Amino acid sequence: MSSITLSQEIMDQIYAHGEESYPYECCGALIAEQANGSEVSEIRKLKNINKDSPKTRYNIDPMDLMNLEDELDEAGLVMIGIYHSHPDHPAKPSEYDRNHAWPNLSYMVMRTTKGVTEEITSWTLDSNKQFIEETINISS
Amino acid sequence: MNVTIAIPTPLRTYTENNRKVEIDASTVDQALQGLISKYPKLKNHLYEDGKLRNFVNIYLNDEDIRYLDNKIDTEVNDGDAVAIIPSIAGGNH
Repeated sequence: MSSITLSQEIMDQIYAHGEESYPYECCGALIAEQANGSEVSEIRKLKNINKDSPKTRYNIDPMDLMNLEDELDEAGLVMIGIYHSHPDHPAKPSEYDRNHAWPNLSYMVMRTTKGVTEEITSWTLDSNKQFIEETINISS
Repeated sequence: MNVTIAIPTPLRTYTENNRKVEIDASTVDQALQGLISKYPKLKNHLYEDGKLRNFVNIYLNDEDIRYLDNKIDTEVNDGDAVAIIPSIAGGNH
């Protein structure tokens, strides 16, 4: 089973992002140092540009993503995953999530119920484009 | 024409971890075909039934090629920058 590691402080930031965005879906990037690609060193909040149904969908602006990747490359950092919230829905990726997922990234999904984040899980695609759950490790 | 193609993080596994690849091409389409010839494992992530997947954005010098007159057949100039940008999206059902 693969895993992703992050500090409690970063986990709190992700939870808080889900809560401040409620009832809309939030999204952001999980960032690591290039030399240590499985431990999240920081997150970057990204704008959900979905105009039609932002309570149930998120889209990241391609230009935001391109600019972020350029910035990370310069800084010796790398995007290792994406997190997003499911307001009042389970912390599990939907079929829609799976269809839109890319390989080699971790996808963290949190359930935010009535404005409070209650649970988070992490997933990655296998070679058959199916999600497999990852272990989330909290570093000390 | 020599163009540089920017590879997004999730696909760098298939380009020997190169984040920029230089390809000689006359159009955006030729540039992408040249990239796939060089790194065949990219193909399934970019194309479906011979067409670019909907989840793939291609930018030419910061312009989405969907909004250019000739789209993927737009001609390129020496030094142009092509970027492959994954469409990252999701939702709760």
